[in-house]
Amino acid sequence: MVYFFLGLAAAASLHAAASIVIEGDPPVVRARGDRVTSTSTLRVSVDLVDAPALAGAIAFSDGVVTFIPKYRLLPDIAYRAVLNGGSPVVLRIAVQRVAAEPTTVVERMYPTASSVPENQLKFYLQFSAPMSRGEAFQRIHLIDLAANSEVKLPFLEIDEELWDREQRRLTILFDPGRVKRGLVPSNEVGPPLVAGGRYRLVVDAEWKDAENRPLAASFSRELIVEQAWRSGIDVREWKIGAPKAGTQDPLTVQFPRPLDSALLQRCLIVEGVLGVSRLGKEERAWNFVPDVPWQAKTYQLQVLEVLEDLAGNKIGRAFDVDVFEKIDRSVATGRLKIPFTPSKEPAKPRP
Amino acid sequence: MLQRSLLLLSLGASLAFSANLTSSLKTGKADLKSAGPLAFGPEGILFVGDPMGAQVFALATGDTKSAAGGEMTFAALNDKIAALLGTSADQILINDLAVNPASKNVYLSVSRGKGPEAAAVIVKVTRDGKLSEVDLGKIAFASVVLPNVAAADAKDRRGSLVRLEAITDVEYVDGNVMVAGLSNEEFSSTLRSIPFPFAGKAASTNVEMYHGAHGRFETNSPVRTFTAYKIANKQHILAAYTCTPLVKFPVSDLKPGQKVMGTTIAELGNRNRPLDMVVYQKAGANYILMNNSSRGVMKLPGDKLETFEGITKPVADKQGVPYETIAGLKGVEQLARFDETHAMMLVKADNGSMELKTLALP
Repeated sequence: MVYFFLGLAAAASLHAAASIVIEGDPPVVRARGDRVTSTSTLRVSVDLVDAPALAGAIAFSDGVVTFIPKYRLLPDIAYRAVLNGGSPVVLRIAVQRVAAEPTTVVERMYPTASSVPENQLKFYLQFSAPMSRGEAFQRIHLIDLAANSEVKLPFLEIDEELWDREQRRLTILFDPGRVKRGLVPSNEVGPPLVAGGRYRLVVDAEWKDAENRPLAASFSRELIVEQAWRSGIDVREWKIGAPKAGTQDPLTVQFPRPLDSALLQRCLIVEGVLGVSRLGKEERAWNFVPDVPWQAKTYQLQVLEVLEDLAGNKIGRAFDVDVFEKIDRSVATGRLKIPFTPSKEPAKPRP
Repeated sequence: MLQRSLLLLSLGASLAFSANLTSSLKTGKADLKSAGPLAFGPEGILFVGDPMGAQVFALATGDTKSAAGGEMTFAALNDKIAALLGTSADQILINDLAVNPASKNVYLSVSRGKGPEAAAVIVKVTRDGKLSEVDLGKIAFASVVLPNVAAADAKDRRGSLVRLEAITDVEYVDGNVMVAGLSNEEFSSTLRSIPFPFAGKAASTNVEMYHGAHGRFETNSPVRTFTAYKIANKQHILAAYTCTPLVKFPVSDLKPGQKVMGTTIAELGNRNRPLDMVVYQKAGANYILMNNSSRGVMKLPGDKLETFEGITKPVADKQGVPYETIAGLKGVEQLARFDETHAMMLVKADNGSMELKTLALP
């Protein structure tokens, strides 16, 4: 956290012939004065009866005894310091917080398409700054617009909360027990999204970011729900746009239906070629620009088989395979390869 | 997330074969990036799942003296942990609870702070009600990096910082640390079994978990919580899937590359998540106690689970193994075996205050 400190001695208290202050950044507790010797003790705790001593190290030099806390001392918390077993002194970090104006927002929600299948499995919220853990499921709501009511427990609420390391992207799974066919939850209460329905996903502005500030704005997105997607991804339906040799034109791959944004970014690889990839509109396309011009030879586009569409269907395998119908079962091989060859047609000179 | 069945099967046996477990650990700084699920092994060794670091730690707590159980309560736990860590109760998260099967001391994994820089802390609450922090700066420990099944193939051009696996449960079963995880990208379902003492990545067995609803709709099925349990004298895993069914499968099925299909023994009803499971014996019979997100604490008969040959037809609510809901228990966020006749609960009151409290096993 970033704070501005007001001067050196943030909070001082005179106590007999010693002064005890919180100062510095990161803050430490220091005691000075006649009663301070190399054998002085300085016990620091929060300012509550019977509070245990905080963990930390004690250092003595030049007539000053310093308590260096193991964990950062925080504003808004009253601490109690006791020098040599004497009377307690209450200390606070006097800081002027960085302007408490909320700035964090939901930058984007994936999938970006407004139309999603009834068996939509998950979505991602991308925030502009790190968020706090522990309140996600109080802050995200799914509203059924036709019924004008909130859908009850549509998501897999797990305390772990599926964040990335920076806590800027959150993965929310729809309750798999309601999405998967044939289980008690899906039979009794049905899927969270129903085909033909219109819904609004709402993120409350009260959600705290990692600096304990609320969001700068709430977020909402309307979703139109279409029929469930019940078949595996068929790569034969992909349209590969091979670039021209001698250029750095993008290789383009178009999909008949949107794919999972996160997986798409790591599951397509042009073998042996460095470059930059981008997602196309509504995650229905993937483009790849090589760092050096394409050669007139055959390249391999690798597709990792963990790739999923919005409904968790994988390559050649539906999310919930109906084993009675014996559809689409394939033996996973980890990856498959699609060859493409940049055409030898020379690049047209740019106007 | 706890010692559970270990108590029944391994206290006596483990001492004989595990004399080298603690000596396999090296003293130094256990650099946990986060502290998630906990489980005790033999010799006071505490296993800690670190999802942010994608590791599992084995910590020698040195807490090996046997003590009696009985009843215990510890009020305002979250306030007291916050005071110990110099912060306020709204800035800590209690992630899991485990009871040391020997000393009956309670261990909690805690985050100090809620952002990505939160400190990982292990807190100990002794049988006589003293709270302290386990010193991770100097402790005998070992750690193992979780093999990242998907990323082993995937070159993440964004620096592989985005894909993470939440560790949903950790258990020590017969010399192996078993780890269930849930990816924040693919709907994968890997259960890992890592021999202890840790011997590097290669030793891990990764098994894909599947679930077939009534023998028909088959999916990958991430495991939410699990426990080891003997069914017909054969070591099994009882697991609750994220899609709610309770399933069983034999530990002997956990072979590399194997596709494991759990047999459904109960469907626990909609709008509910199982949280923890405790296996115990009472009056010669076996029971499973399970706390849930919205259906309170359930007791299931644990005998003759082998006779439940799986639910193969669509079911009405509450089918399979019958269960009863224990009256008067609300807000039980964590559940662990405490002693032969008690479980330990972490109970959250409506006002947010948390209490540790034993429950006489019903």
